[in-house]
Amino acid sequence: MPLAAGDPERGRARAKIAIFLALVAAFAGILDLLRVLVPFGTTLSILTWTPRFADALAMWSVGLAGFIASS
Amino acid sequence: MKAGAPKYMFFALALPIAYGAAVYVPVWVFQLGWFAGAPMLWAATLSAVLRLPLHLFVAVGEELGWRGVLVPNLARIADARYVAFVPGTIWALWHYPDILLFDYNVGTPFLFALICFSISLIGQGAFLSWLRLASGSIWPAIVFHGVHNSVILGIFDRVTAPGALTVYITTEFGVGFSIVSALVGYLFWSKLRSSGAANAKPTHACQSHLENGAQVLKARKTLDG
Repeated sequence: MPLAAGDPERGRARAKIAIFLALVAAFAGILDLLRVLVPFGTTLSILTWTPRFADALAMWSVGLAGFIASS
Repeated sequence: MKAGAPKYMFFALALPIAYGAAVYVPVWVFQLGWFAGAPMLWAATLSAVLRLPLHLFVAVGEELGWRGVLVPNLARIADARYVAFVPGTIWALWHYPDILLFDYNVGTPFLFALICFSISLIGQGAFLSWLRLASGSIWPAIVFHGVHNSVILGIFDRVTAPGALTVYITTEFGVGFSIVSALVGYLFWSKLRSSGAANAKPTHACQSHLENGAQVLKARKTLDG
C-alpha cells in the first residue's frame, strides 16, 4: 500500500516529486532556448554544440534534477 | 547502487530485442520495408555494440531522474495504476518539444508521431516502473534504455530499407511500436498490481542511489560541522 495519509514520508515524497518536475521543466526550457539561440556547429571552449551533444545534455539534465530533488 | 538480480538484467537486455523483432520482422516478411541483408546486419550489430557504452552513459542521466527519483517516490504516495502510467506520460511530454520543434520525428505527420510515440513511452514506462521496483535497482532500467536505443536505432532501423509505409510502422514514432509497447505496458501494469511491487515499502526496494548519496553527504556535513 502507499504510505498512510498522515505519514510525514508521504509529504517528503510529494515534495521531492514536485521539485524534481519543476527542475526538469526548467532545465528543458533552458536547453530548448539554447537550441534555438545557439547555432549548431558553434564551438564552446573544447566542445562543439551539436544536436547529439544537446540531446546528451538534456538527458543528463533529468539526472541532475533528480540529484537536486533528492538532496 | 546494487545491480539487481540477473533475471531483471535479462529482461532489460532481451525485451528491446524481442519487441524490435516483433515490429520489424513482419515488416520485412510482408514487404512493407526490406531487410538489407546479413552483411549489413553484422556491420550494424558491431557498430551498435561499440556504441553501447555511449548509449548507456546518456541513459544513466535520464534514468537517475525518471526511475531513480520519480518512480520510487510516486510508489510512496500512489497506487499501481499511477506508478505504472504517470512516469511514462511525463517522459513522453518531456520529448514533445524535440518532436515539434527540433526535427526529432522521422517524417510522419506530427499528430501521428506524437500519438504513437506517447503510447510507446507510456507502455515502456509501465515496464520500467515494474523493473525498477521489482529489482530494487536502477541498473536494469539503465541497461534497458541503453540497449533499446542501441538496438532499435543502431540495428533494426539501419537494416531496414524503407518503403513508402515503413516509417508509419517502424521506428519509435510508428504504429508497430505503439501496439507492442501498449501490450508490454498492459502486461507489466498487471504484474505491478498483482506482485505488489508498487506497494513495497520504498525503504528497502526503492531507495535510490541518489537518495543514499544525499544522506551520506548530509551525514558527512554533520560530522564535519
